[in-house]
Amino acid sequence: MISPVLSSTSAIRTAALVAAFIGGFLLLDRLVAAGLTLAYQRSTASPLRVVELLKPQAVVVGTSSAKYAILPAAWPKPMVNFAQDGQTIFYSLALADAIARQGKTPDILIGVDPFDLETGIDNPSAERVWRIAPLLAASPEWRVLLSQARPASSKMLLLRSWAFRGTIPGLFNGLLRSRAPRYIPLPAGAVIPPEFEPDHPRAFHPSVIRYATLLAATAAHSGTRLTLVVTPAFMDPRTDKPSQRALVNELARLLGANTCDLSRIENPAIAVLRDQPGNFRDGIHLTEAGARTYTGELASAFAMRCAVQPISSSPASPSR
Amino acid sequence: MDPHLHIAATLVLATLYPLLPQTGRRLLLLAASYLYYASINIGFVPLLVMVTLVSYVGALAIERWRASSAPLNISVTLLLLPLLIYKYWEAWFGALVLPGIPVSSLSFGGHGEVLIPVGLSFYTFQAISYVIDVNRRADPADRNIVRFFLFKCFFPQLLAGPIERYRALTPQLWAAPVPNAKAIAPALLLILWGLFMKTVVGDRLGVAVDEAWLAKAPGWRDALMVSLGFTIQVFGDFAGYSLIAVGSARLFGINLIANFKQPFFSHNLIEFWQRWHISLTRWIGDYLYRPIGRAMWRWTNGKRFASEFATALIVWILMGLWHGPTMQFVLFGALQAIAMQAIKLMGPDRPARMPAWRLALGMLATLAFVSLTFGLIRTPGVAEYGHMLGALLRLAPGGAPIVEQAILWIAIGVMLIVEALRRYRPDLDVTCSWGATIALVGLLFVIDVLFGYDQSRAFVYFRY
Repeated sequence: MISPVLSSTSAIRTAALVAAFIGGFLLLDRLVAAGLTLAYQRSTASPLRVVELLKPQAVVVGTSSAKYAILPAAWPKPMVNFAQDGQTIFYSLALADAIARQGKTPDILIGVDPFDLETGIDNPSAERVWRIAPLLAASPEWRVLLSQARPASSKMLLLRSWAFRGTIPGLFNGLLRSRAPRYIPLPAGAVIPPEFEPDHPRAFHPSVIRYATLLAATAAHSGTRLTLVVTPAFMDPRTDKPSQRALVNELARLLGANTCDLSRIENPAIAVLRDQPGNFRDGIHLTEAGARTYTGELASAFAMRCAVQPISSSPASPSR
Repeated sequence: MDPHLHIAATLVLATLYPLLPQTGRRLLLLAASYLYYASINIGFVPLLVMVTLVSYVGALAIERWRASSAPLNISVTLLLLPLLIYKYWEAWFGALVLPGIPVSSLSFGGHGEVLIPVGLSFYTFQAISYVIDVNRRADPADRNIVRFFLFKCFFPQLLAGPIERYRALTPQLWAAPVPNAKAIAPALLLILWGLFMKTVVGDRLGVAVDEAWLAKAPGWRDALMVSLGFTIQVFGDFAGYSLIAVGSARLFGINLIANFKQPFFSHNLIEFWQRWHISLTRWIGDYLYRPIGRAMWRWTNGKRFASEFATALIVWILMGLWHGPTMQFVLFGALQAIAMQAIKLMGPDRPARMPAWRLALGMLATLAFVSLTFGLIRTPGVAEYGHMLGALLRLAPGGAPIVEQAILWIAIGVMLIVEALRRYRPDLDVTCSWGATIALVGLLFVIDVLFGYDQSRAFVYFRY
């Protein structure tokens, strides 16, 4: 029969060993996360590293419509366009926050799609914000938001290296070569005149608000200027979509941002651009020709802080 | 349930467990097991309680009325009823709505709204084995209801096995031993290796298999993915889960049986099924094959081959149907039976006397057969599978892109190398070296965190 004293010593030893392993895992996690953070900061997989190297005066974040509409080569000052296919407002706002926090870029243009603002964090697409999880994980507020953006991700609240899950190949790739975004033009496509829905009330999804609030505070603190940009759609002046404008204006208000929605401005160049199929790949993505024209007009408006001119009373768009 | 949270909770429990007195350890395991099951879905708990009570009372009745077969028949019928309803009712009889809960059978091709209660098959089979063993006098009926509840709900093996026998598991659980400190690191190694197999290999392959099935014009690579890829996915997922179960149990001083023993290194199909899902194969042998075999022997008037073939066909079709209620599952089972009987016809099986090339050829043939037939479990239908295999035979070009394929191929390679080492060099035991064990535990922890597929998927066999 085992002595009770020996038995309890053995039990304590076993319990202590399991506890030591738990502590060891947490320590190992912190060490790995610290190492990967250092590596990520030097890798061009990190947008912040790209900003450090290229020193742009303006960056663009947003979805594919902004990616193909805003051509850095046509912008009067150095610009990097970080907008990506399939990203969501959550990704855009989170990336803008990371760049604003870095404090090296005076202007951030956020390409917004009014429909995107109605998307909630429970939409599977919203989890794409995880692509920049290493940028955000240092911030306790962003860690909480990240853990909500992907199913079963509460682990990241405990494990720091969890933010690097899925990013390792890209991280090391970015150490070996430049991953700065490059503009790759789209060829013209067979665009068809869009079918216009009647305007109807739209509302923010509440989960966007927390992202916008964090970004607004960061931008105010770092003195970064935020500008919302609504890119053109084929044959869609959007002048009769007050609810979409209201949505964008509400986001601008939350962010303390200007809005550069050229559809609200009497702009002959944009009107021509918008109605020419050769400027579009499809209903919302511009070709290089369209992007050059649009970027030029946007830059002019941007230089005037996107001051809005009243729209004339005559119909500006084809009947539909 | 999220495997990472499961493991984290197990570690916390394993810290507390040794510090309690024996009664406390028993109660901790009992409470933790029920909390674990309730955390998946509290609606499943009454079913587990019901199965436990039916088998507990049934065994007592069997002992009380030995002369009658009624207690056994009633117990087994009651135990099978929920399984039959959940798995087959909708497919065979149409929609059935229990109060507020639509019931549907779920296979990979099905579109059930409500999952079969997780683990239902496994704890049902375990309960059936118990009452039959009591009937056979292999086990006494347990009169201690707490002990019996603990046996039925022990969480590491509750959801997908191994299907442990009462006589093997209950004495260990009731003794509630304090695990030796030296057992902790090897247990963690098993858990983390199992997690690697599930999240780095199985989950990643699962996405690739899903994508292959979505291909509008599948190519030969899609066909290979839905057959061989799916087989490796299931292995990674299920064998991984089994290792997590075995490792988790060892943290509490409990030894479970190994459920997989390097099945891809089997020289024929018979050996394959002796190495794949071992606890279920043994269950089939003890509780289906023997009684059905005796009946077929009588039915065929003692003709050996005929009775063996009929037995194998019936047993394997039942096993096919356990995977799902439609013809593709019947076909899956029938093909296994036919192939194994064909192997038996080829003469005595003496692998020790076979040259290496013949063993290797046998392994490849077994893998090919298993891959082709396992694909039947995953396919939406037999016609769709035929279309896929046509693409393979024609070597049709194209194939769906594979996400993170470099990581996937490396992980599969590592997994197969480890399997090969365990098969042919079982003397190589890394756990002999404390330093090596700790280093591997740390390495696997980091790999699991960084390279586990970034969207956790349910264990494949939870749907059964």
